[in-house]
Amino acid sequence: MIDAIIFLSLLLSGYLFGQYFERRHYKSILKREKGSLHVPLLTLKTAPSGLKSCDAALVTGSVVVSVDYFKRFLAGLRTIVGGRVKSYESLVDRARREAILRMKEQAIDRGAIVVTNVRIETSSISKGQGNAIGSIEVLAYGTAISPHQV
Amino acid sequence: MEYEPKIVPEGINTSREHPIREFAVLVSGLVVVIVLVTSLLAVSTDFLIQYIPLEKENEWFANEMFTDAEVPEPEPDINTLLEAEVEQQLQQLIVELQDKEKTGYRFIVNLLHNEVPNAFVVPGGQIFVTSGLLEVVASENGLAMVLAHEMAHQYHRHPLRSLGRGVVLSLVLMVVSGVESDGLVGSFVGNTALLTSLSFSREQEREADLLGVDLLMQHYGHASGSSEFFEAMLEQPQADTETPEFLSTHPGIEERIDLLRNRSRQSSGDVTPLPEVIGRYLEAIENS
Repeated sequence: MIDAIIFLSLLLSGYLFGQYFERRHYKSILKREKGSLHVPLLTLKTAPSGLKSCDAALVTGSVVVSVDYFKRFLAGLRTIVGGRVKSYESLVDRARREAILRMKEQAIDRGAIVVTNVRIETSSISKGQGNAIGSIEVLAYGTAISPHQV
Repeated sequence: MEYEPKIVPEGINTSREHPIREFAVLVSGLVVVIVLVTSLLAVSTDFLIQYIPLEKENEWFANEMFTDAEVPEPEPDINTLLEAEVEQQLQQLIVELQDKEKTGYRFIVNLLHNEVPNAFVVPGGQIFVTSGLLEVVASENGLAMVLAHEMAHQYHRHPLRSLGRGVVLSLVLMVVSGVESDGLVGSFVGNTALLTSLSFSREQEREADLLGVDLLMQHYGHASGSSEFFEAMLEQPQADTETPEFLSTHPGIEERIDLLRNRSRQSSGDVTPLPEVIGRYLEAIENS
């Protein structure tokens, strides 16, 4: 009985907090994405021709996010029946976009006009630890190209 | 080529489905499957157990559990002597209550030194009665009802059925939790299966109440005093009437009292007082 109450309240608080933070995060992501549209991100390894004599620097953005209790339970149920783990998809999507945004904001701070060779890497922090907190790190990095200051 | 800033549309990498909806679909679907599988397993073990001959059961469980032999006592004091006498009385009561048409059933009664009023039966027909139970019943009829209820369990072969069901379910759950590494979902599956199997336990209690009161009426000719034990349980300070029935192994006490009171109303009579040795025994353990 007590166990059931604890479980249900964890599930409910996981849901309420998780949804609240997710909504707030998406709002901020959308706003910042719109605000940084003027700097294109390229996956090309080399800078576009004509920009050869510019400043180049490594920019990185890294994010660590944790799954909430509700999402974890939902994903656990998915391991039985299979299918899209939708509860994790939004989590990873947020982490990826946040990492790119942080990288991009760093590039904009340097006065970059384009970021080339953009790469994204993901690693699980709690890998192989069974019931440990399911957290992931997303790292985005690239080369920020800014015009020479004259 | 000119760079034209564009916003990427949403919902490519994520789903628009509301998480609550997904949760409801998954949980209700799984609950239905677990309840079905558990019921199927329980019903089929129940079905198979009847093919285990009674002699086999008595043979497997020939060794009595928790007998006093394990606790060697240097010299029998007055209490152990009284205890043996009480056990003899209870055994006598069981012989009188027995259904003469059902042969092959073996009953052994053991007194347990415990304040909590309780009685239970294990496979092989060994019945345990606590000293606390002797304190709460007011008449021999009340005590006989408890014994008859436990005997009815054995007549229906409930102890072996429960054991079989428990073994099969825990085996299946072990396989499931072995495959399912997430403890959260494993315990969700386990608890749902457990709650499902409780309904079988409650059904057994109802069956035992019905047959038990029949045995009681066969012996005394009436059902008076049959609800004594349950009425006493309601008055216990630790009486648990809050737990909802679906979480419990037994049906609600009120429901059981109602059934027995109905029977007593249909055929009532004078209750027999408790054997006086029980009073002496209770007094002796009170003093020691």
